Amino acid sequence: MSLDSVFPLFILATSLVPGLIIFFLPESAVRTRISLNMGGALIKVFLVGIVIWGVFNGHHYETRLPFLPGLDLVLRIGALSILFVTLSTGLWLVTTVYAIGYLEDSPHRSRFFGFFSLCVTATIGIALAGNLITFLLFYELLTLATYPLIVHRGTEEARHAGRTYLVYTIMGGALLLIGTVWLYGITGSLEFVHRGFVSAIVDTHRSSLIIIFVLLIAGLGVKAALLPFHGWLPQAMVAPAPVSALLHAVAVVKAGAFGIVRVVHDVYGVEVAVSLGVTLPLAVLAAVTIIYGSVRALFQDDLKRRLAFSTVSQVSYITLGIAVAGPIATIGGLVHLVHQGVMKITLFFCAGNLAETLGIHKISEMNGVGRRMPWTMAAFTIGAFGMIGAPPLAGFVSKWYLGLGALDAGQDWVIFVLAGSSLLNAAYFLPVLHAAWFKEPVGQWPHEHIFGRMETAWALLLPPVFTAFLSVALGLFASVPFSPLEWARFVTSLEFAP
Amino acid sequence: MSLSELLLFFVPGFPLLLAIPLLHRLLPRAEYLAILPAAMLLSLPENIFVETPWLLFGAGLGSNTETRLLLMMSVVLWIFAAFMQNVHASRNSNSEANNYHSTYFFLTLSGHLGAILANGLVGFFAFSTLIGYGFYGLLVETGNDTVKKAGRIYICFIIVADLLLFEAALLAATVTDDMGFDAVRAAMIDSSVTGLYMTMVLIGFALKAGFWPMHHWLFLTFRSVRPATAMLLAGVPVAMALLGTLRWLPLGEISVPGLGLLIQGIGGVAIMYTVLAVLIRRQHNHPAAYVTLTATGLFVIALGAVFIEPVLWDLYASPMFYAIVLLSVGLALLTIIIRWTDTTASNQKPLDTVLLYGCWSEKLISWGRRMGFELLPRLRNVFLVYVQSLWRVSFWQKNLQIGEYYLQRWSLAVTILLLIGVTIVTSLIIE
Repeated sequence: MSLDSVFPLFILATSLVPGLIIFFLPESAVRTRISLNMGGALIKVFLVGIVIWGVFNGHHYETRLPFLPGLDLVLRIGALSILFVTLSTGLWLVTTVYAIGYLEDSPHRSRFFGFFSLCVTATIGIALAGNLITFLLFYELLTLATYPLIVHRGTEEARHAGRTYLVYTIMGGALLLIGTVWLYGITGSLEFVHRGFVSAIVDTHRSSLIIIFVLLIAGLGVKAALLPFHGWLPQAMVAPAPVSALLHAVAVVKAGAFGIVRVVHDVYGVEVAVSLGVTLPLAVLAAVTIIYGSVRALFQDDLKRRLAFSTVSQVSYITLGIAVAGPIATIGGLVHLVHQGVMKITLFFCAGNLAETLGIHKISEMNGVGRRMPWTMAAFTIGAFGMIGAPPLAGFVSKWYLGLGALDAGQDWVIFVLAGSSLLNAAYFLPVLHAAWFKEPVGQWPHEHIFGRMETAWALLLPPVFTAFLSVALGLFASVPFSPLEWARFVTSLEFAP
Repeated sequence: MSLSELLLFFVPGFPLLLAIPLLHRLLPRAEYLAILPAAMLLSLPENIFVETPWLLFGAGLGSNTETRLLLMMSVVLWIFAAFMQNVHASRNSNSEANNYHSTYFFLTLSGHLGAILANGLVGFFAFSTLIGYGFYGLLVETGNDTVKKAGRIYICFIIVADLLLFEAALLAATVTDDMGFDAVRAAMIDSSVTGLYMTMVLIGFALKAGFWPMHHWLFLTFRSVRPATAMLLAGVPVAMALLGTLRWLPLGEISVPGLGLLIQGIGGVAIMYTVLAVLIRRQHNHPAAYVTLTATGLFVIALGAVFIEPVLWDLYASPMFYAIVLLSVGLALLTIIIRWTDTTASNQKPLDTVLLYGCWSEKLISWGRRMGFELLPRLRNVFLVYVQSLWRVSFWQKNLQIGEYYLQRWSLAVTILLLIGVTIVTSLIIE
């Protein structure tokens, strides 16, 4: 067994092993837990760095383990998986730092960090999955690993949100399972291949392929929060801020969106999907979700709820880019997978800081908070402007490619969706910024904690400042080699090359 | 990269760095220091251009004769603004407010200098966005209620304008890979999207410059903001929007008589409106706003003439360019003189022009009543109640909340239906 064939396992193990050990640690073993968390996250970053270099230099990393007769568990590192693995690994490290600060005096930290690591392991497994069955297994593991994090606080509201999450995601998983089994039944394969593996049976199983596509997308659409399967996401906002960051930027919704990319590109192939006529309805569904999510966000006074509806809207940009089915729009969709993650995690970290430091949960309580927490609100401002698509931030690059891709593919209507969504984004983010920077504070903050001369704890402040800086850098230096944009171009060239 | 090329990046980059409160608090006289790289660039004898393929889609920066003149105007303008800002700050004991005002000051300065030096659409767009939001901060940070109202209108215009310019830039990107001004102008000559592109650019910059009939915020702000901000009003957002029209549009390359006549008409109406407003003395205390409106009206008429007869561009190019410089400097001087001679400016009663936006429906109804449209009063009342409810946020919130509730139920129903459907179809296939 060569080193290249076990490398994917190593990457999985860097979060799985620390996670399993952490489960058995006593609450008081703070240093050991932090060391395991940080050690695992740093080693994973290092390994992913090696893998990026390796893939670029032609190395082929694949682990194949026997699972069922005719079906293997496959972990394969390709160009597309690297995009998601890098995002998850990088943001896991940042979120771990944040979570350590956020949960400093909370109970059940071993349980929390154990499931947290398990959640990242599942996400990395989804990213590295080389076939649909491996994808499905890690997809279900993600559901199970995330549930305890959502109900972590143990309140009735948290338990209700957890139940809703389980109902939605288990049903989504069931649909995905049916689709997968049916597909295996008619193709005899579930292996992810560039340009898909169903082209040989398009003529003979046209109807079945359309139904399977609907099943797969419905199953994945639950986690990707596509309308009407998005209901769990705003409710899951009762979870602690690091979990929200994990749900919205690192793992869950991204897993759904990534799955849609896999299905369109590596199961069906863009050409086949277009010929079956399934991409246009998917694009329309994504467009409706984009507008609906933005409209709903507009009316929320709860900050995290507003951000949650914003996620419903923003994640559908990825689906829209893929469903437009042109090379440039695909670049836009893929790069938004990374950019949205970085910008949204910034916003959730900031929301967490406001809640932890000043007890602010509602937008109506945010008057003048920019004066009290300038660094946090500066990071929030960058994240919000990025979401609106203001240049030169990361969101601008995504919207640029999505718009250009839509025009290139002759789907001009998408431009109106992007324009409408940008207007709505501005309408629900700018009042928040206006209140924070330009309005006078109304008396005392709800529950203020003083952190010496700092506006909040270092561990809470550094992550959003870093990710805000990243949001600027990803936009400004989008054309630098190895940037997410350049990597998305590389992935797209594999799919659309003549 | 040579030192002079590096200096080119420092011109907008240094003020941008200084926008961080921690940095501008550390440096003494930071407002003046921020302008130093621009002044140094002016002292260099040669023209400099930097292509940056790695930066924001290859947005380059450069300076030529025209740019240097604009830069010179900006340096003078910002030195005066910095002086007035410092005078105001020394009188104002609220150091925190001064601090944040300085942040917006540096952001606007960075956007202004960057827009002047930008070589391409994307760079100009990015810096012009920075001007928009930075200037909004300048307006709202220390302004009274009138200015805040004007700020709200301004920010709405900025959002729509940026959206239109973004779409215009996208259209340009569909016809050329090179987003430099010259390349886009050349590509637009034979393109099928030229008309749409030009319309979007015109409306976008018209919103940013406060062209008639989108000028109300100009009237409100000229009188009520800090002197330094009032001085910058014409020199920064208005002048840069005019510069944008010259740089983005394929002037002198193609003939668009219809569009030319239309915008000439608008320019003419703008001037007539200004003359009428002066004659009836309704808004007699806004000379700077009148001058801006007249100047932009004349500018638009000249632009229309170039659309109708492209050869006129050779004749008009330099005067239009100098008009921007003159407008900036002239209005800055005028603002200073007005403020000097009129100490009661800040006590002026706010104008009600803004309110026209809020109560247009009432005006329309009262107009209808005067005209005798009272045929179906009950139906009209029902309709009005419905329309008014549509304007209330709570109406939509309630309806969408109900919709969300049903959607959640529906999602379960859809899932179950799909499962049943799949079972039926599978059994049919097996049979």
